[in-house]
Amino acid sequence: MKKNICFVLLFIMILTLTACGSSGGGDSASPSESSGDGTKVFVYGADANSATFDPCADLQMRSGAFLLLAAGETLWTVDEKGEKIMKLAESAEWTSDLVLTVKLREGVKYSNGNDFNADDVIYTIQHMQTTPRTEAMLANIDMDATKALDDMTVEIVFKAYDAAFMDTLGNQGFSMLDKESCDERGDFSWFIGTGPYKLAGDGVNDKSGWTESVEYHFVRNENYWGDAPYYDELYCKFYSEESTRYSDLVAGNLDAAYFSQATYINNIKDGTVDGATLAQFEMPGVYGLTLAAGDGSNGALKDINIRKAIAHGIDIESIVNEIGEGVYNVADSVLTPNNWAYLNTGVYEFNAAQAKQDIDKAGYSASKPLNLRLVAESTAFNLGVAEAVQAYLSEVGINLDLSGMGDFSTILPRLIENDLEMSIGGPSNGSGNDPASVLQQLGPMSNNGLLRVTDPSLADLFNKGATTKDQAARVDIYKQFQQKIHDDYLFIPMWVETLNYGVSDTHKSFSDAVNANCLLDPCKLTD
Amino acid sequence: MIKFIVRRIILIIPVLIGAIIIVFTINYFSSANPAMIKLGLAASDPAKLAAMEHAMGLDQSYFSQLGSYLWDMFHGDLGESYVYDKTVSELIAERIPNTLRMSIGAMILSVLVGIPLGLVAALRQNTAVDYVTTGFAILMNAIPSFLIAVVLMIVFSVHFGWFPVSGADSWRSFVLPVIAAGIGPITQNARMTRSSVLEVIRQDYVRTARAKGISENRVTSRHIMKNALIPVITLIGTGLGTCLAGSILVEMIFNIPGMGMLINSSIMSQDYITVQGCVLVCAVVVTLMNLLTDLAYGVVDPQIRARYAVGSGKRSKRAMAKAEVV
Amino acid sequence: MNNAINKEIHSGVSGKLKKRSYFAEIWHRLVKSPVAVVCIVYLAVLLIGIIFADVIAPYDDKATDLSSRFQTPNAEHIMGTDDFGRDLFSRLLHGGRTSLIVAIIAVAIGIGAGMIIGAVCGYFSSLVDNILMRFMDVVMAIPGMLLAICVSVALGSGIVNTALAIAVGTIPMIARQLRSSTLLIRNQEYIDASLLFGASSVRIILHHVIPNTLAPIIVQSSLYIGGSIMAIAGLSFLGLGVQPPTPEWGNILNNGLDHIYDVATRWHVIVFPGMFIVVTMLAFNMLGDSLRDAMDPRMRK
Repeated sequence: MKKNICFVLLFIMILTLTACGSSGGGDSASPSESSGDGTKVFVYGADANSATFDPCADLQMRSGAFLLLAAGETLWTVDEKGEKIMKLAESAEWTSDLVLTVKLREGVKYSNGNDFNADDVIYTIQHMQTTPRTEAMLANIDMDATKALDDMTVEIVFKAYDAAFMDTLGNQGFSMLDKESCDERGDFSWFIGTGPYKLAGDGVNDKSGWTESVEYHFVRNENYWGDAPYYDELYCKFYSEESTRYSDLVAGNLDAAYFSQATYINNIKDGTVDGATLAQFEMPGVYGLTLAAGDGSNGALKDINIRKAIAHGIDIESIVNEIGEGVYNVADSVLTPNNWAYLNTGVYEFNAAQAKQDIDKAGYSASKPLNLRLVAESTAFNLGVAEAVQAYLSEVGINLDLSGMGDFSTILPRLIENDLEMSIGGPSNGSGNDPASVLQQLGPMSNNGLLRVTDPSLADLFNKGATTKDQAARVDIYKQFQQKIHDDYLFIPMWVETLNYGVSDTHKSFSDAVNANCLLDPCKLTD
Repeated sequence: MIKFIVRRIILIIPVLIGAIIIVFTINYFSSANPAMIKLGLAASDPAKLAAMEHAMGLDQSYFSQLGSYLWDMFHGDLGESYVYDKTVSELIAERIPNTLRMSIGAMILSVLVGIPLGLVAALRQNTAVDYVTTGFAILMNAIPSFLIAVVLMIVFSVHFGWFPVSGADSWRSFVLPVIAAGIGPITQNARMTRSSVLEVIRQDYVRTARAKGISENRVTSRHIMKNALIPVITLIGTGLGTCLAGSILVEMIFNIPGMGMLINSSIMSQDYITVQGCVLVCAVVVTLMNLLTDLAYGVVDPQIRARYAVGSGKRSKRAMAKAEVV
Repeated sequence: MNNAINKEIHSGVSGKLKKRSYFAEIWHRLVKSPVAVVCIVYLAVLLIGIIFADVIAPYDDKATDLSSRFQTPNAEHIMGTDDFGRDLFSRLLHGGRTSLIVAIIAVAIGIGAGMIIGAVCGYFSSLVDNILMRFMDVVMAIPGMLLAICVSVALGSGIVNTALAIAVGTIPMIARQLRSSTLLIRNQEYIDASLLFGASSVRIILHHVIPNTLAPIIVQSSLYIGGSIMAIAGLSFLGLGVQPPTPEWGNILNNGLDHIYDVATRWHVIVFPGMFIVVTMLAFNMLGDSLRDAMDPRMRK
């Protein structure tokens, strides 16, 4: 008898526990193509969750870009040809070489009802300039002299002419922030923008628009100044495992999703996935091995012989073509061929014997190997490349200690802290086609770049390029820059970064919704 | 009886404190500098780094850091995430429901399926039923749970479309993950029950009961089950631990936002204080579960009560030894 | 099991001779079971394979050849090649070495530490016993896999660190078991007699307690090794285990799973590592079961 009572007790206990668990969450209905009431819904599969809503912290994540493009807006955007398209700015004019006068659009409201005005622009630029991740990009601005002429006009003053400034500010990362609500919150635990969409909920009591590591849920921003977008609601679902994202596309649960691993991309391309096609875009950016050669690194890579050994010790073409299974193209410069300052510097030739000699000159050999640490953003393709590089270099006499890390914002601090010597990454983060904006991430002129180069001539070239007005002169400078990077073995370009989307067949116009940076701009989706 | 219950409850306090100390100490010796992780890029400024180290108390001794961590723990404060603008407690509170649903589901499954399987196998010892069940248990125990999870997902979610691939929207999302996380504990329970029942069947009192002409069903339910299940049920708490650990891998595959995914993403972004918090919370859950099962069965089974009995060293030790050797 | 020990103790005091015959007897009964024989033969073959992996493996396990990726089994590569064009059979042999070495180190650490703690606990005063056993309770309260994650996050990856991470969770289980057997032995008359003759505690633990409690533990280590192989694979899945290019069954299988959608052409990168893990786990588990049966005194004729 007693036994039965105990069983009953045990069960009640278990049920209560389960019930406690069930009471939290679980009410978000599974999003689908279009709900019964005619609401048009688009579901996008992205990578992992961004940890914060600070637009300048996580520019790199695909989910972060989706958020900023849906709910945020910049002063202007840049199209494929480098033309500026005014958004929150009505006009932007260089009144002198050092002064840019921006007239703001009237009647724009944030999704919380606050008015957009000159204070917000100054606040946003100030925030970007004091955040380590973006400070170097806006280093030329003289913040003390920059001021609001009136409520709707801002005068941005520069210490030196900045040719890339307009392109830089066109990146979705420079979405305008609402000063009032930012000050109120004191942190970046929510995002308020002027975009066509907003996160569901007000961000104070109702935060239903963001379910941590599940999804962003966007609804229309009723205060939006422009034409309303096609879809009523958007979901951006987070998948840390690419295989699960792929499974969900195959199962028909996603309208579109982004992929990096060649095997999935080729499966979609071959038509193996029912009802989905591949949309492929080459970004204006190059990925490769970054070598921390300057101060702040342990110094091994300061020796050009070692850098040479690394460059010639790996078979770049075979790595990109084989691991990439034809999805990625080999890069032959720091800039992509469609860039106006592009110079074909050639792919480093694979020559193991040469590499062995070089490493020998540096005092290492297969029997006395050099130990270096390499980190890669942990997408399957990047990790695959890393492992192949490791295999090639071990033949030469360089042992690589591999680790996969979340994303660029985790990698960079470790580079700076001298915790690493090499990473897989590269300049892919600009906006538009201006080399000054694209090359920013290599950062010879700042402390926060991937290359820890201290060679002043490289920084000089970069600065000269950014501050010169004459286009022909700039082309010349950037060609020198590319040649110097190549000759000094500072960055080993490997492939042109490609963004690959698996798209449900029903979305014929998907390609039109992809912006100049190859990111999906959900506001441009039509069917 | 009340004395036993009180004693048992009081005993978990040192266990929990001990767990905190162990996990804290393991983390303390990690090579990563939390201030650096928290500052990110700003860590290149030595002054900022030093200030952050001071603010986080990293410049204090091991004992004072441990002390303040313990003190915070008593207030339910697990510290602040290095990466998120949130406290670890908030992060865990958001995630724990899914993990609990999964692991408790897996645990219930392991009891509801594992014990009957073991019982049937034992009662039909050396028949086809026994061989099939035991064979199944041994085979399933040999397959890594992540492999089972991937195969289940591809077959039942992607191919047949019976269950959602990912997410935690409805009960249907949990079916496959619960099975994947529960397979290990099912086989363990089945094997445990089988050997336990076989042990009991040979006992004299069962023979006596049969000799007295009691019906076979009654012998099974009253004499065999009652005695054979005690060691199995007392291990349910530990089983929950296995389910919790198993759900880490399974959550990642099914993209279920629970503690497993939190642990994984925290490892990736070096948010070690969150990993630490998650491990501790799991330890608390397992300890509480152990407490509950112990209390429930302590009421019935004198052997378990004996573990906590107060008595002269030798005798109580002997009793404890008996209770522990299963 | 403790009955076995009891009987052992009752039947004779002097250790060595008796012990040998005890093992011999178990062995004798073990080989009567065909399942056990199959397991032993498999494990022996596997062991030879991985010990002499350098000689047996047809290729270097780390030599990549990107032009021959994903070859299905053929005359040159009997199990095909993996995503870097490495010979899968060679990888699996070397990977087995890593997996088993890590598992054996982990279990050895577990048994070593568990034995000392268990014996000390069982033998000494209730104060030492209480402190140590409560400590073990604490460790046991943390699920083993989570503890392993915690330890490997702190120590970093690598063969020894992974082994340590897994060992930490095994120690309390072994310690508890040893402690209870020690208690039974300690209360035997012959221990009192030795004490009377002035034998030191250390001597008694070393000469009487440990030899008499070791047998069941060694037998059980077969099960622990199986469990450890699984745990290592789990850590690899999380990216915490043995790092590339060192092969290990878990990371080989995990790499293979990336290609599960191409199973028609790349089946071998999933099937072979999966097979190695499953069959080896089966062998260890079934051998463990058979050993347990063989040790069961009720089954002695």
